[in-house]
Amino acid sequence: MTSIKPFQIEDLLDVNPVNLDPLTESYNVQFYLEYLIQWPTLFFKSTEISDFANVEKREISGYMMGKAEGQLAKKEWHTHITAVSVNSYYRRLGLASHLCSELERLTKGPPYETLFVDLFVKVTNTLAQQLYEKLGYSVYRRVVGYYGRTLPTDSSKIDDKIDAFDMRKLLPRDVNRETVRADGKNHNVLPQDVTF
Amino acid sequence: MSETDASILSAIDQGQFSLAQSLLSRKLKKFPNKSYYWAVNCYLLVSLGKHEEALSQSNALKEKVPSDPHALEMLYKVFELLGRPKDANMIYENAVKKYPSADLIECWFQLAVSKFDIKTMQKAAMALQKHKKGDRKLAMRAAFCCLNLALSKVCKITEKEATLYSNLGEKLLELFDFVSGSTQEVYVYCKLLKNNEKYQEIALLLSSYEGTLDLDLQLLYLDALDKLEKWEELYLLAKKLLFEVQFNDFDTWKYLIRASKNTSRDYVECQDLISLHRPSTRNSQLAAIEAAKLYEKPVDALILNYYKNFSSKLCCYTDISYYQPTPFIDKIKETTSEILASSKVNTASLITLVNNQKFIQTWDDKLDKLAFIAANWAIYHKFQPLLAEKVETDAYSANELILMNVVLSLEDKSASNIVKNIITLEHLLDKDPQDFKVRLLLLHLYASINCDSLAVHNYNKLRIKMFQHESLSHLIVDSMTPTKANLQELINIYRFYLSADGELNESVSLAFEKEVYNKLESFTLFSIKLKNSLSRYVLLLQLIKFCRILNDHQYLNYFSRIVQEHELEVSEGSLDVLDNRDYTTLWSFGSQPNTSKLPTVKRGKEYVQLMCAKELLILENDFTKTTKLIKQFNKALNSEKIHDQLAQHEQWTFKLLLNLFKLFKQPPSKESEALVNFLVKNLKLEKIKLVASGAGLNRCLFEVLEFIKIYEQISRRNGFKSEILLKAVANVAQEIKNSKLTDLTLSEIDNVSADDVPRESATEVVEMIKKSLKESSYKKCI
Ligand SMILES: CC(C)(COP(=O)(O)OP(=O)(O)OC[C@H]1O[C@@H](n2cnc3c(N)ncnc32)[C@H](O)[C@@H]1OP(=O)(O)O)[C@@H](O)C(=O)NCCC(=O)NCCS
Repeated sequence: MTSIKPFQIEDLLDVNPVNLDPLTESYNVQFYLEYLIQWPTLFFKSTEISDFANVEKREISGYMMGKAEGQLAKKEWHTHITAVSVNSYYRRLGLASHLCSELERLTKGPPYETLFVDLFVKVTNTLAQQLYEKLGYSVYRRVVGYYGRTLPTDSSKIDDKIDAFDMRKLLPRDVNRETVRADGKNHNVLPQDVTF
Repeated sequence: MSETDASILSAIDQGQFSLAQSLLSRKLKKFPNKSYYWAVNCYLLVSLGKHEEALSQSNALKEKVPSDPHALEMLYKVFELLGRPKDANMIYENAVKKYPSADLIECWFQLAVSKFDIKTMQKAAMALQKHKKGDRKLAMRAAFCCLNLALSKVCKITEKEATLYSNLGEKLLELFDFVSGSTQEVYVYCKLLKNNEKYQEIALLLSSYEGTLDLDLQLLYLDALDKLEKWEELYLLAKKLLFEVQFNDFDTWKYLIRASKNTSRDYVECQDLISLHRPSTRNSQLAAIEAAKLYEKPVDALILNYYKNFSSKLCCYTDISYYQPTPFIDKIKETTSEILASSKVNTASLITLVNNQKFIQTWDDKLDKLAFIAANWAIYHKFQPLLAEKVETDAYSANELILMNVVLSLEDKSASNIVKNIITLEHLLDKDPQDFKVRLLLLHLYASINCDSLAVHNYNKLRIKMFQHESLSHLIVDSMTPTKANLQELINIYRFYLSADGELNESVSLAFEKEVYNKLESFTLFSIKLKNSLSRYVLLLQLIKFCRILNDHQYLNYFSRIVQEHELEVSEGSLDVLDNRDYTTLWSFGSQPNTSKLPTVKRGKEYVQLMCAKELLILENDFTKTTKLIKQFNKALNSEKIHDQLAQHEQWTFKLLLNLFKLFKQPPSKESEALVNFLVKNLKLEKIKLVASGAGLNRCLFEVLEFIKIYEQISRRNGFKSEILLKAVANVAQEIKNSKLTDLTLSEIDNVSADDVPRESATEVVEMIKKSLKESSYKKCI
């Protein structure tokens, strides 16, 4: 029984079942604070009610942390999924898909009206890629060394362990479909090329 | 601030008092009318420990009502250090009354923000909006501060006061029009209206609002319609959100069902509507059950239907438990048999079996534990091929079966049984290293038997960092022994708090500037929670203990100073401590709630109070202060709640400390001889062996080693001398040095093995444990 609520900074004290997941990153407090200040509506959580031995509890089952950035003139004004994660007990129920759809709904119209939604996913995280593909995302480019410790300089040196796919989904505002492409997997870029 | 001004302050902070004094007196001579330098002088006096003089000079300065922001800030700090927060605020209040300038009030407000002082924020914000009447932004800010205070769970205000503040906040906004306002403004106004139970006004405003309602406002709107019992409107809104907007939200389903019933739509119509929802989701199927419950119709068939569709999802057990149906254990057993009879091995079947085992454990009154444990292993083995297929980072549900076995087995809490379970958990991790539930329990078991290095290793393997320390560090910190490596771990954890303090400070201020009111309430609360955090205090006190035992004087001074900042609260017994620890995640698996947990101590507020009093007593030599502190120490030690917060041997070591403090931190009295006798009688290895055993023994020895250090430190400073006590301390130190106590635990676990785990793996784990035990042995410190 999932309900959607705004994320609050105090929720960090209750996200352990979500954030202990090996693929879910925990950041410094500043990072979350910045999102909450800059994009307060694009950071929300899903909650569940449970009741064991007559103790009713609400727990966080997942969250979406998003933002909107980039210049419209450069056709880069877009929604970005910074983190989406779901507690393993509530997976394969369509929850992550719903969180993504919510973000899309919130930003495809005013006040944001972005051109596309995008995200970075580890090349090896095939589960998440399947999720995004089902939702209509496709690979736009491969970001070589995105998750590496050092900044790479050669975009042809691919390495599945540290590379990311930049996946995108078109939103209605991009009427001419200029911000996506079919052969994205063949385009390699460096992390420094994907800042907005 | 000039260069000399900065160097005066840094000289004070670094303890170079004579340099500070000479620089400052030059300034005072040159600028005798500058209140700032007089405030710095007060600061110097406090830092020198001349509290009374500092207080009288600060009071004198306060009487003059200074208005220079730097002077105020400095004087504020002094009053704070003197433990007089009320006076600290009063100097601003007075200054603002006498010289009401916007800049000065803003300074006051910003200071309150930086201190996360909700009450003062409200006062300053009110003063500023009064100063600039009609300024929408300032009125908004003041109204928010009223709301924040009214809602605050930490300010200890009465209900009556809360109502007063909410009314005041609402009044400030009365004249503004919100129909075209920002969502943030509307949020503040609606929250105030809600506090004042004016739901009609909320509904009216939100129904005519020109912008798009954000999630906060949407929730407020639904709530208002519900409270007003405007059922038809609620029905239509909920239906629109669920069916058109596709906002798949269970609370909204509940509104829809409630509104449906109250608008006299019958049960069939309600269920028909629910079944029309596309796609059919977990929420919509649970809504069908919820509807039956509300319309008081039978739920069992619907729950069975839910089971049919969701038995292969891990939420099934939690969801069904929530509705407490008539147990359908026959159906469960039948499904289990069918799956086990089939040769098919897939994730859906596995998850169904995992759910079924949880139901069986919950519902079967005559559960045969051994058979249950065997069945769990049988399922685990049958589905093992899935382990090889799964993506490495994907969760693997069969591990949970074995976790359930471990919990059952932990009814026997002997060291050898804990080791046996450790072997089992290590085996699971060997096959699936990414399962955090397994690793979390494993680290807990390691910590419980003194295997610090392994507990810490697993803590780090879980990549617990940043804010996660706040809720999880207790898993390793409470039971840690003072080794050099552990000290480093603790310092690393402490760093998180230092950076978070700064980050929060900046962000709260920025959030005010950007008017992000719907996040600010939580920002301030979170800041206060971290500032007064129990985990943070326990960590700090452990750090001090470790530094003392390991002779790290530099860090010892640094951390002790932090405790000294709380001297007044500690000696008055009014230290605020907030508990944000997570004890749930560790045990949230299997059929819940999990019982037979390990008997670990759970530190609490009283423990913090006791430990702070201890640290202050070690440092303080002024008998008026120590008498107060001894009283608090004694009070905390005798409080009812402290018993669950201390290990058995700690009850004893704290009693030793109490006697020691009474002896050295009070004027000599008739009691002295009895105190010495008590200490001499207790400071013996034999006695230690009586008060502690097993894993507790090693920890107890550390406590005694610390006691010896404390004795050395305070007996050096004080006039009281006792030869027999000196001898007793030297003797016990020697006895501990010569003893071979931990070897006992080692032999106990020598041949432990676990069923279903290969012998070689078990031996490897036992060797690892032995090594870790040696690393955390008290012997490392002598
Ligand atoms: C990836 C993740 C967010 C998916 O959450 P979720 O709520 O289970 O996702 P959904 O139920 O919406 O899944 C939608 C589709 O994605 C695919 N998918 C998701 N998890 C899958 C898995 N474990 N195995 C195979 N396919 C999977 C499926 O096609 C699924 O549809 P289906 O269940 O109808 O077959 C979740 O596993 C998670 O939190 N992982 C850790 C954090 C992470 O990797 N985040 C993404 C970083 S970019």
